[in-house]
Amino acid sequence: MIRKLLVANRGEIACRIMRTCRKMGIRTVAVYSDADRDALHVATADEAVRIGPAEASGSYLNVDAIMDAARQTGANAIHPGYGFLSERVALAERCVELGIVWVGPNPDAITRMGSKIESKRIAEAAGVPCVPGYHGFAQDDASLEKAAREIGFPILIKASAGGGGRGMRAVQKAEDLAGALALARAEAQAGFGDPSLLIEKLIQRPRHIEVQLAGDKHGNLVHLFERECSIQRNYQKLIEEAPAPNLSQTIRDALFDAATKLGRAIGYDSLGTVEFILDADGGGPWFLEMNTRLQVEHPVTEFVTGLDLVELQIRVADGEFLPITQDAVTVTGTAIEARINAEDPAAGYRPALGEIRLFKPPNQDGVRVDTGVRSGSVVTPYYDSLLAKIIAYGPDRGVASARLSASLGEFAILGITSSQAFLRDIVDHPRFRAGELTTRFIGETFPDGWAGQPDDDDDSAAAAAVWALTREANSAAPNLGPWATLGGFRVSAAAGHAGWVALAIGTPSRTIEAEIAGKKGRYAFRQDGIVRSLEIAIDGDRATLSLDGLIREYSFVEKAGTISLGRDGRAGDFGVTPRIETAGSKAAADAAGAGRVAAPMPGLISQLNVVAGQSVALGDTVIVLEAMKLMYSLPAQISGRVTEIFCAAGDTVPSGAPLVEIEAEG
Amino acid sequence: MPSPTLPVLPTRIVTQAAGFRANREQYQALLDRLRDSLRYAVAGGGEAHVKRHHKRGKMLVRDRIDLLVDPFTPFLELSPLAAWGMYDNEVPGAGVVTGIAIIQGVPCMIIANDATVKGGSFFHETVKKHVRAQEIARENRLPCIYLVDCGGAYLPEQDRVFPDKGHFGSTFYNQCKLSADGIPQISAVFGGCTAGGAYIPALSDEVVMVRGNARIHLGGPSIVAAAINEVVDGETLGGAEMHSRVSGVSDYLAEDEPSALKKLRDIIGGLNIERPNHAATRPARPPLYDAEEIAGIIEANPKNPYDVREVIARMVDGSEFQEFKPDWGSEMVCGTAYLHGYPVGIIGNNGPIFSESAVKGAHFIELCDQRNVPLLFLQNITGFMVGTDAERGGIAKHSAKLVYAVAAARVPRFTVIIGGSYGAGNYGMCGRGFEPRFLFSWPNSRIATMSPDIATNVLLELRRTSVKRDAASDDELVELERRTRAQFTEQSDPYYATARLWDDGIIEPAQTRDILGLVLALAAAEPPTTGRSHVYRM
Repeated sequence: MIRKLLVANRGEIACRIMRTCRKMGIRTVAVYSDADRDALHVATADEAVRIGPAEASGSYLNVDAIMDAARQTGANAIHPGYGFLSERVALAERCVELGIVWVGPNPDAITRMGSKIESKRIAEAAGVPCVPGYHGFAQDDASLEKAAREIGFPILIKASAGGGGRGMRAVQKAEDLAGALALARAEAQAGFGDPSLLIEKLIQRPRHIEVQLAGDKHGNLVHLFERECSIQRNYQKLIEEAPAPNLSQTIRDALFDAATKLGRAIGYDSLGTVEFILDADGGGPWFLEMNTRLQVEHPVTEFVTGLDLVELQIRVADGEFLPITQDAVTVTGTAIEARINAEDPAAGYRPALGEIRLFKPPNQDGVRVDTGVRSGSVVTPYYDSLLAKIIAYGPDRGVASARLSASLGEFAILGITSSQAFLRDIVDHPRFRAGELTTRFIGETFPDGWAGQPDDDDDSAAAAAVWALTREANSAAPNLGPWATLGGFRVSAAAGHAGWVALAIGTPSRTIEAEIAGKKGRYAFRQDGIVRSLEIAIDGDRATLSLDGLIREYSFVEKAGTISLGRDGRAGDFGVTPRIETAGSKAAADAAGAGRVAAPMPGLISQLNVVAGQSVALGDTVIVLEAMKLMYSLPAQISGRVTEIFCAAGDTVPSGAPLVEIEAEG
Repeated sequence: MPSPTLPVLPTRIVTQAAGFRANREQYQALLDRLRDSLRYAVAGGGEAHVKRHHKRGKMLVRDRIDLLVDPFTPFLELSPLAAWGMYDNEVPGAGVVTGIAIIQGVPCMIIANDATVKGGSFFHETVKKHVRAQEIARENRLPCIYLVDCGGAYLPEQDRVFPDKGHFGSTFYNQCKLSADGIPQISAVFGGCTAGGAYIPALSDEVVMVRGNARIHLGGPSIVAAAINEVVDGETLGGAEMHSRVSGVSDYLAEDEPSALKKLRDIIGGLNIERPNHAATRPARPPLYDAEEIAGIIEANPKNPYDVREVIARMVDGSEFQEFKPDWGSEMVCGTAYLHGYPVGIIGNNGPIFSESAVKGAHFIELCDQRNVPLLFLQNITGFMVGTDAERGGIAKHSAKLVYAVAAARVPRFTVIIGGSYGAGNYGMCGRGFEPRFLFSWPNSRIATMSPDIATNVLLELRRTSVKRDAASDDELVELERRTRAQFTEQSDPYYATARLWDDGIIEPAQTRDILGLVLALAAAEPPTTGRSHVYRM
């Protein structure tokens, strides 16, 4: 009887597990590292125990600390979530030793499925096909050619000792094989010191589809249908759905058959997932691997089957019989999940770190958000970048996609770069809507990478309005009555002379100069000589902006002059500064000589792109300065040679600090 | 605790009425004229001069001010139509912009030359405006910020600029005295300051100079060449770098104008000035009725009276007005109200002042003086009552009580001329001679000893009864009547008045509440006057 359950994890999955525990009347214990003292999962749990430093190796991967935490709190069950210790047998074994309920499969299943070679061997023995290939010792051309013909072209030649794509060669037809083998051997020898090759079937248009299994300790095992997980980048799943679109019943049956065969072969007794690959053009499914734990994407299965998988997992772990039979499980509608990560998809998925200034999930029918963060949470570099999963359900795939898109548009995540807009572009792509999904989707849909929309002058105007309203509300004229409330009052306003406030509005990519005048949310905005009317009304973290009569809704946060704005699934940070406040910094730089690059504001040297003696051209970015969470590219004002560098990457510099000296050449 | 409320003034205005609409239409023409005039004045010396100014890397005077002041705070510009209609209307604003603004949270008086207007040189009205700004600074303890860009006295007018009290010398005298009284005097120099002009920065507590354009020298290169036969360029002689690094005349060298303005802000930020609020303020509330309606309330024909309460109802918080002695001396409307949250005692006119209304006014002033409530006079007065009954009733004595009370009141006083300002009524209602803190006029106002009609009658009568001259011919009388009428009409026009600094500017009725709120807020920083204050019932 589970009374109190310790979740040996963090983030959204810890919160999600605790939600079901609460529903089941089970007390919860969180564990946390020093980096997670204020994390949402700690606040969600009934009790929380510190288990070590920020580095996962000393905390979330620290079996002893976790067992201590369970002892200290009297927890009689441990749920490992996914990742961390979920597929390491050590924690499972310790639980068994100490009589603590391990919410997962028996340790033997973890071990056997944990090995890539062992799991494939078991699969083949159970009659579950793996990707056809040749891994033999005979390396002569004749043996390899024979193997290739048996596998069937096209094939892929790989270096046995290789990895990471090096030494890989696709061969479309038999005539090209001999030449390709020679080249591949040479590359393998050069690259890895071993000319041995292996051959695999080349899957032209791979789809990644997995089957959810659920078993109990009494020999019952069912499948809970499939999930499509083909939308990936760098082997990271981005969007998953159930059921898989455009999948024939024959293949579906083959998937279920293979998955349950494997599950039975190992006596699987918990929740688990069998992953397959298949070719969209035909071929497969072939077994890839089995995950002996709860999956990130489990909510899509919950939506279409109506089951609470975590509850199921806890009940069977506690020895209960599986409460469902295969016949009783059906699929209704479609559910699609998108994983919103703290990363910049426009910059090689560079991780984004720092404070989430506003986190406001959408409020939509049929939409569920699983998250481990909230407004004010800080994303640290220690763990994965998953901010939230947003799962949309619909009676059909069209409705589910539309809801997911609308929810991604409504979701407000400000202050940190996220993949939100990128995900929305994927979901809105006609190819996605048509269900033409392969693991090559991202590369083929965005061949030059995804760029997002460029900065928009309208959004800069909106940022100025938010700034103005905030500035008015925090007038620096206390005890002065109307001097603080009349805005930029001018006697001559009706005669055309308003009290203009000159602003610099900066985004990471550019800075615009504009002016704003008016009061109490009714402004005129002047940019490049064009005056537009700008009205703003705010309600909490929502701002309604009217720009020359075009009304739009934004989510916003203002902090220390930086305005974070979100609209329509996009978010951006705007540094709004009255020009008077930066007056002099440019002049000081000019006075020091055009060759000096100085800090326009206090900040952190994020990138130093030059070394002493290097030649630079006018306009080259020599420094990237991170200030107010924005990245400012500081260009060379002259062409010449770098004579001196006054800073190093990582330095914090004051406004006006000289950074780099460039001497004109010639 | 909820704020106590005062009785709400009712309104009898019907905006659909033909009379209201006709009045409003006529008033719109007055507003259009005002806005056109301001537009002309704000344009400074005109396109060619503005272009040349910009070409020198200089900002326009109001752009400097916009950049200098705290974002989204008011700039209460004073007398923007000074010198209007004078010197062929070629000296808009008298070549200087003055006004009150918030800089780093501190209310300051800005005195800024407009170099696009005759090189920013000083005319008679320029010094008058300059001295008036310093006077306001003294009364309200406002640091003076001089944005200097001027060429000294306008020589053809030197007799009206240089020698007398209230002329150029007074500006320097004031600077010294204000500074000595603890009111900071700070200058930023944007252009050449020769001779007299040099003393504005030189007498300042701190000085910023802009590299390239700013010059300070007692004698410029041509005078130096003539006087001592030395050939030198202006930059070497009196440039910003020399003065900041060699002579020490300047305390800060700014690389450009925005940097100089930023430096002024830095200096003001460190002035150690805090302004307490001594008034018993309440949360500000707008009036219940629209101030734009005042344009339809004021009768197009000045001979038709209107109820000043309709104006008050569109000016004070919540249109609430505690009227004093409403059933006695009703030609004079007195009462207390709040305006932008500040308490104020208001005196307005509903007709000429009789003995009763005069002593009622004096009584009310005593009340406000006792209670430390500032006074606001809304002038619309043809004068004190004349005639046998009035004289036998002692109007001269009773009106003197009012005038005395106005003069002797210790609380801050403010005046807006919302209609006529004639004769001794001007005194009894705190005209310029009685030194109210601020005096503004509406575009429909008239100010003179008497109206053109009466003046014509008086002068014709004097001519007819003249003992020095022969009997006047009809032609002569007709000509006299024409001349008198023309003179009084021209000179009682508010533009004639504002051009000569008889007021602090013509303002629109709908702006009046806000402007009065601004000046009341300044006065509220002063501690209440103490000592005995008597309320003699009269």
